[in-house]
Formats: sequence, structure tokens, C-alpha cells
Amino acid sequence: MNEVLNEKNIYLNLEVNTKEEVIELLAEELNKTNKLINKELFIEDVYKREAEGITGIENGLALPHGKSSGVKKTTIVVAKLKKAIFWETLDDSLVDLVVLFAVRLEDKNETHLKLLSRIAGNLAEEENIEKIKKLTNKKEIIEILEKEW
Amino acid sequence: MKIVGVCACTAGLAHTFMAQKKLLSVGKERGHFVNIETQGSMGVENELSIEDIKDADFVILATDIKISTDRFVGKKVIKVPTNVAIKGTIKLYEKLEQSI
Repeated sequence: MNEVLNEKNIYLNLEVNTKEEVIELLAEELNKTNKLINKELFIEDVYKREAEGITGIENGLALPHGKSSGVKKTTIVVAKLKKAIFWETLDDSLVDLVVLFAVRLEDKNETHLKLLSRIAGNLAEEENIEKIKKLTNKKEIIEILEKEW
Repeated sequence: MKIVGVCACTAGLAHTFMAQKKLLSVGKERGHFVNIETQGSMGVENELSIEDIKDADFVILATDIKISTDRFVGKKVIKVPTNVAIKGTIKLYEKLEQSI
């Protein structure tokens, strides 16, 4: 199984009300599954990135990310939200799909980084977002995210 | 048209590659030959060759950080933030197509 993105890190119907709540909840899940060294530090680095520019994209997608010494294992978390929440986005849409990148500060692993870039690219395409939003099969969601381009 | 470009964002993880993918797919749809270099967390990838740059009608720099642009002196260069390359890709190409 792929260690960076697997079915355990996909949440299909997450109930949250705010951006802060999603980040906290997903960070806690990462922490519980032993992907973090320091949860607070990771969250701090996610917000540092948020401060540099918005991570909400369009079509209800947000892609927060933290490259952080608080991360033990580079991991991607996908959360489909039960209801759309406010998040700064390029098209002023509300966000109902959050893909969080937790990246080790020293990660030079080519396979990891290549996978991250491929997933980011696939998330740039509206048709992929629409598909992911409709799907409830986690395997199929992963296939779309990891598709070669 | 032949178009080359460079994408680079602050963290080098997400926006760089979203912009690259969007520029490639929309450019192809509109009948252009597009080649995009990325300067991200893996360093320089898909590096543009001197020939690529020489043959290009346009250079798109979708960058949020400072990058070296010496290679593009004398070329028609359009510089935008990565966000514009991601969200306003079609408009960006329309602008290039009109100005040729």
C-alpha cells in the first residue's frame, strides 16, 4: 500500500463548521496515526503557509499544506465535507473538499515529491474535482488523484 | 503558438504543479505547443532548453517568488502569479493570442 496516500486517510463525510476546525481535526488524525512528531508545530507551519497566500483554489477545493519539522511521515489527507465551509478561495466558492499535504521538512524522497506534484496537478482540473465529489469509493478517489499526466 | 513557461510558488508543493498542469492542458486544447519548467521542492524539473526558449513565441512566468530571468531577455514575457495561471488560464491564453 502507498504510504503517502491510502484509504485510511480519506474522510468521506466530515462534519465541521470552520477552516480552523478542519485543520485541527485532520492534524489530530495524523497525530493519532503516528505521522507527526509535533502536532502544534505542524499546525503552526500550516498557518504560516496560509499567511503567505490563500490555499483555497476553485470549485470548492482547498489545498492547505505544511512543510514542517513537526511531520514524521509525509502524508496526504483527503476530506470531503458534509457541508461547505468558508475558506478564502480564488473564485469565492465555499469549500467542501480539503486536501491537506503534511510534508516532512527534509523530505527529498523523489517518489513522495513526485506523487505530491502529480496529485496537485490533478486537482487543478475541474472534472477531477467533480468526480471526487461524487465518488464514495475511496479506491476510485485515489485513482483519480494519482493519475499520470 | 509555441509557448514556454516557468512555474514556481512559495512552498514548491502545490501551486507550482497546479499551474503547470493547467497551462499544459488548456494550452493543448487551444492548439499551442506548451512546455513548462517547474522550480519546486524537487528543484528544477523539465528544464527548458536553449532551443525551446529560442523557438518560443511567448514566455509565461507563473511565479510567486523571484526567479532568474536572464534566459528570457529579448523574448515576449508575461508574468503572473501562480493563482492567475490556475484560475484565469483561458483568459491568460486569450491575451497571448490577441497580442501576437
